[in-house]
Amino acid sequence: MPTRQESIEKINDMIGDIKVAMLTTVDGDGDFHSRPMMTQERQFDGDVWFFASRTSDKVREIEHESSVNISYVEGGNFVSIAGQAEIVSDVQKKKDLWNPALKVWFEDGPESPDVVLIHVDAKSAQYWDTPDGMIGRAISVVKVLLTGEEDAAGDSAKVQYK
Amino acid sequence: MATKTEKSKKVIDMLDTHKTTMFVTRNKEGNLVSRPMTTQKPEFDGTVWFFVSSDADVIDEVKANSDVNIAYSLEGNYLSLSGTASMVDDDKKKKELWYPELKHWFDGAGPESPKVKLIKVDISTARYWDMAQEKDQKKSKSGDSKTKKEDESPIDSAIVKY
Repeated sequence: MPTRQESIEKINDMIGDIKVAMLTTVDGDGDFHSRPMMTQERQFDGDVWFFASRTSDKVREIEHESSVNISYVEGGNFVSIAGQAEIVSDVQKKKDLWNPALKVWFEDGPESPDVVLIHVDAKSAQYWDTPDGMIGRAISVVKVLLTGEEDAAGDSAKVQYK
Repeated sequence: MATKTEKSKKVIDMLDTHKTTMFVTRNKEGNLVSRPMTTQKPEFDGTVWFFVSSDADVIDEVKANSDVNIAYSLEGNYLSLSGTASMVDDDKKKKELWYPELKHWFDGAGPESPKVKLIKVDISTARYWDMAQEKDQKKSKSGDSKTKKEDESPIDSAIVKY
C-alpha cells in the first residue's frame, strides 16, 4: 500500500506532461459542468492551481459550491482528483505562478483584476494505470487520501481488476 | 456559425463508439469523484449508455444523486456532457449494446448476468472545445470564414442543448 508521499510521486509521474486537465464544477441548478484547463508547470504536492477569468462561469460556480473534480487522461492512464476549490486573487501568488504562455488567454497579465487563481485542495485521488496500454486488460486502481497525517494514507486501498 | 445539427454531429463524432470518458458523480462525502468509463453505441440522441459492474461505487452514487458529468478528452478535442443518470434493468437493452470484449471487465459474464448493470445518462447540455482544429488552422494559415470564431476565444467551442 503506497504512503501519501509515494502516491503524490506516482501522481506527479502520471500527470507531469499533461498540458490540459478537465475541471468539473457544480452550477446553481446542481448540474455538473467540465471544461479543459491549462495545467501549471509545477509539481503536484496536494494543491492544484489554475488561472481563470474572474467573470467566467467556473469561478461563479466555485464561489457557489467548492467541491470540484480534476481529471487527467493520457494514453491508458487516468488520474482523478477530488478536492475543494477556492478563488485566490492575491497578486503576488498570481505572479509566482504566471508563465508567458498564459498571455494567449489572459492578455492583461497576472496583475489584472480580471485574472484570478483557482486553488484546489486535493482531498483524495485515484489513478488507473494500464502498464501495457491495453484498456480492458489488467488495470490497477489505487485510491489514496491526501489529507491529514502521513499515515492517513493507510486508508488507501489497492484493487486489481481484470 | 455552425447550426445546431452541425454542432450535435460534432458531439457525436467526438463521442464515437467505445470511447473512454471520465464519469463524474458525487460521492457520499459530497465530493466530486470520477472514473474512466467506456461509452456504448455511437448514435447520440441525447442519451449515453454505460455498462458497469453491480458492485461498483458509481451505482450507489447515482442513486443518491443523479446529476453527473461525462468528460472526454483526446488530442485537443474536449467534451463535457451534463446530465442525469439512472439505472436501467432491461435485458433486451443490455443484449443490444453488448459486445464480446466487455467480458474482460465482467469476469467472463455476459449481458444476461445480474452482475452486469446498465447506466443511462440523459444529457441536458453538451459543450465541446476543438483545439486540434485551431492547431490545423495555424498550420495552414487559412482564412476560411467557416472556421471563424464566434467570440474572442482562441478555440472552436459550442454548446448544444438537448
